[in-house]
Order: sequence, then structure tokens, then C-alpha cells
Amino acid sequence: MIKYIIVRLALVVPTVFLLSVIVFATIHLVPGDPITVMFGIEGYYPEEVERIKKFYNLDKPIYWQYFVWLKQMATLDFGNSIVRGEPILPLITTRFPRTIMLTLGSMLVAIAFSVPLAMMAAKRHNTVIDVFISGISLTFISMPTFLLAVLMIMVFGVYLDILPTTTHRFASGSTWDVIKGLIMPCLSAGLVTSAGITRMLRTELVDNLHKDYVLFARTKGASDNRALVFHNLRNAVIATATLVGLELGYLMSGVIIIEIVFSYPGMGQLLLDGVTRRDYPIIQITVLIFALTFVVINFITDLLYSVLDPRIRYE
Amino acid sequence: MNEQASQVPGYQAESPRGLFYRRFLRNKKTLIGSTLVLFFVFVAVFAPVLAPGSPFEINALAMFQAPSSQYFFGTDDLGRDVFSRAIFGARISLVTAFIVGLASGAVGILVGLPAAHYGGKFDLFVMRAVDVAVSFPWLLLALLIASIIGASLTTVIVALSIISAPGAIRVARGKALSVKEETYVIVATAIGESDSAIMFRYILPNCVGPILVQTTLTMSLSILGEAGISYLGFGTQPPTPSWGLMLADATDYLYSAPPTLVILPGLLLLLLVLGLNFLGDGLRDLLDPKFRKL
Repeated sequence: MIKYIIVRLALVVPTVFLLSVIVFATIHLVPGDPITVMFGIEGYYPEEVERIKKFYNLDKPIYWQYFVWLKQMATLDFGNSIVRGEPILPLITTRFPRTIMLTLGSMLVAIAFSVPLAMMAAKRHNTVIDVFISGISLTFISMPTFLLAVLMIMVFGVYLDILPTTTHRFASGSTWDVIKGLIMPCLSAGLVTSAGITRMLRTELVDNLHKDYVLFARTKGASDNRALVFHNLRNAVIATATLVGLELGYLMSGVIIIEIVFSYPGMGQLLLDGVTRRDYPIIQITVLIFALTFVVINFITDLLYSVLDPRIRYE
Repeated sequence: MNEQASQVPGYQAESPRGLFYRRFLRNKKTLIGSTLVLFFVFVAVFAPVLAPGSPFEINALAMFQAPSSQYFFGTDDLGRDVFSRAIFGARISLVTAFIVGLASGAVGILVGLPAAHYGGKFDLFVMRAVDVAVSFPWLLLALLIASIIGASLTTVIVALSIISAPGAIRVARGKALSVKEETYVIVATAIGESDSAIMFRYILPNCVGPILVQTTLTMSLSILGEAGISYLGFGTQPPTPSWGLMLADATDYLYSAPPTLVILPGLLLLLLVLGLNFLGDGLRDLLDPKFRKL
């Protein structure tokens, strides 16, 4: 197991390196030099420009700048936001947990809906129930996350007026307010994700119905349901776990959009605000953190995967 | 069986193509999917004829009108006819889908086939890069590109093409790897055909199926992507009618605007993507023996 973890970690390193280079390169790919881009001044005060260049190490060779930047990132020295003029680190530490909360909540919704639905469809496969569940799944796959969110706001927020339509009072509200505020964002991101998982899991479950181990379980007297849950599902989950890793990329994109729809004060909002106002340090750090989170979660999924299926470790 | 059948007078063996078309028309998914997609192509092409009014004309005296005989689906915050805008919106979605599908398909073939054919270090490098890129959150890349070259429809198309290329490469390479082992490819190698002839005249025609399925699904995802990026304000710019942009406008006025402002562009978006997904699913059923139900 430890050997497997080390091998997997070795594969993560080039990915992280590549990500950091891409993120670092962003600001240098922007047309014009960074000073002009960041401050909007162009050679009016040559000495001042020189001073800023020196301050930000822009007079040094590019690979040197990259390593300095890398060291700053690694030591959490994120510097100041150019537009907001405040340090970036506190912004991240308050917003990052909120985004994680939203992402985990959505994943929870996705699993809570997809596993029972897929089992129901597999148990009654090729019946009306199966076709109905497949139809619903395909509809949700075809629906952009934000459309579902807007529709939910319309129904539950505007017409029925039972749930808050924004979460901007997040910081001051009580726990109940926070939970109420999270319901619609988690549902809209989670349901879209659950559709893909349902489809995959259902196909796996149906494929496995005639596998030896399921038939054996039935022969030795396990009930239909017992065979489905303890013998079939366990194996189907392994194949589906790969998809969950892929879905995560979509979920994260969905969460960023959802944060905007509900004015949710998380990392996605910070990133979008950064792109709108061309606040490059903010863009770099938020993208880097999003990407790293993604890599870390994928890594954890991989490990879980090998715990679920010992065969993988020995390949 | 086949031999006997061919001796029956009047029997003609069906060509593979004929068989494909027959299955295509018999399969519910491909039939529903292609009907929906063709409907939207028709709407996009004949938008100026079908739209009752101008998609751009602002009328300050007719803001947020409820649906009426003049404005079938009401008017938006600038008094523009929502129905006409939605019809023209089909153009943006389809153009995006078409270009992204074409671009990612081309990259898939031009990188995936050589990777499978030559193998070795090149293949290894390509697949590593694909592994990194294939599941990366698409929106992050789109936003990075938007922050570099600015927000526009071009940004969306470039971003979505880059995002969908790795998937296309993976599919083309995977299929090419299995086709490579076929006798006709080995024979072609033996008689000294050039590398490019083997790749594009022998391998490519036999990889078309999976690539087509992948392209269809790419198109549906790129329509969702365009709507999402435009919704955030980094894609299609106003006043160009895009469904994502229309939904973004409507979101700002949920309390005062008629619900048709959300429902119409949302429904069209859903139907077009649903059509492409049905088409992709159906094509996979037809072309992939693993899924084929005869």
C-alpha cells in the first residue's frame, strides 16, 4: 500500500509542476508588460516604473521570477490584491472552507440521489421505471447547472418564497440560515452531477447482474436485494469511482457558476471578480488553489479506489 | 444462413452503409436526436424569416411585457422581443458547437492517429499530457484564457476547443490502436505503403464511428459551456443574442420579469443539448458492438 501511495505521489508531482508553470505563465502571456497590465501606467514616470519593476523582481530573468513566485506560494506569502489593496491570505482562508463546504454538500446530494436511483433502475431494468429514471438522468445531464439554479430560485425563492435566493449574509447569519442558504446551491450543483453517476452506475449494475459472483450469491440463498447491495453494488462502485473523478472537474466548474448565481461568498466569486477586474495576483492564486484542490481530491479518490479494489495496487 | 439467403431469387445483400441507415432510422434515440438537431439547424438558418421582430430593437416603452400576440414570450429589460432573440440565439450555440466539434475532432485525428501509429515516447508523452488535461475543470481554463485575451465568443470557442481536444485524442488513439492490428493494416505495411497512407487511408476510415460519437458529445458539452461562460459574462458579448446571456439578463430581474424570460432560452438550450445527447447515445448504440442491440 505504501509503495502504491509513493508511486501515485510521484505521478502527482509533474502535474503540479505543469499547473504551476501554466498559472505563472498567465500573467506573462497577457499582451503588454505586467506593469502596464497591473497598474495601467505606461512609461509616464520611468523611475517609478523601474522601482515597481525592481520591487516585483520583474528586472530578473524569467526562470528566477518563477522560483521566487513558487517559494512565495509555498510559504503562503500571497501578497496583496491589486484592486482591493488588501492582503490575499485572509480572503482565501475565509472563502476556501465555504467553497469546500458547497462542493462536499453537492457531492453528498449527488451520491444520495444517484445510488438509490441507479439501484432502483437496475433492479427493474427495461421496465417503465428504468426508462423513466434514464429519461430524467439524460434531461439533467443536458441541463446547465445555472439553469437549474435559476429555475429553483424562481420556484422556491420568488414564487413560494420559502428559501433565501442569495447567501450574501452568510457571515452574519445563524447556523440555520447557513443551512437554509446552502440547500438550493447544493441541490442544483448536486443533481446535475448525480445524473451522470446514475447512468454509469446503472449500466454497471445491469452488466453485473449475470456475473458469476452475483449468480453465486443468489444460488447460496441471498435475496435479490442482498445480492444487489452487497455483491453487485460493491463491484459496480469501483468502476463508477473513475467517473466520479471526472465528474469532479465538472462539479467544480458548476460550483464556480453556482457561487455567482447565489452570490455565495466563496472562491469562485473571488476568481470571477479577479478576472473581471484584471486582478492578476488573485486570478493566479485562486486558479492555483482550485487546481491543487482538484489534484488532491483526485489523489484521494485514487487511494480510496485502491482500498476498494485491491487488484489495482498490484498492477 | 447467409449463403442460403443469397440464393433466394431477388435477394440482395445489404451494404454496410444501407444497414447503418436502416438502423439509424429504426433506433428511437438517433431518430429523436437527429430530428431535434435538424429542427434547430433549420431555426438557425432561417432565423431572419422565422423571427417576428428584430432581436436588437430596443423599446423603452415596452419593458418586461407579459406574453402577448405581439411578443409571444414577452420582452426583456430593454423591451426587446424575447422570442426573436431566442431564435437568433440558436445561431450562436450551433456555430460554437460546430467549430468546437470540428476543431477537437481534427486535433484528435491529427494527434491521436500518429500517437497510436508511431507509439513509443511520442505516444507516452501525448497520453501523459492527455491524462493531466482530460479531467481538469473546464471553467478554470476558460477563465484563464478570458483573462489573457479578453471576453468574446472567440475566447469561448478557443477555450472549449482546447478543453475538448484531449478527450478526442484519447478516443481516436484508442480506436486506432485496435484497428492497427487488423490484417488489412498489416498488409498495407507489408506492401510498403507510406506512414501517412496507412494512418489516413487504412486506419482513419475504420475509426470514424467512435470519433463521430465523441464529436457529437463534445458538441453538446460545448453548447453547455458557451451558455455557462456567456452567463458569467466572459463569452458572447451584448447585444448579441446568446441563450446564456439572455438567462443572465433574466436572472437580474427575477422579481419583475415575466417567467418566460427564463423559460424560453432555458427550454431551447435544454432541447438542443438533449437532442445532441440522444444522437450521441444512439450512434454509440449503433456503432459500438458492445452496446449494439440487434
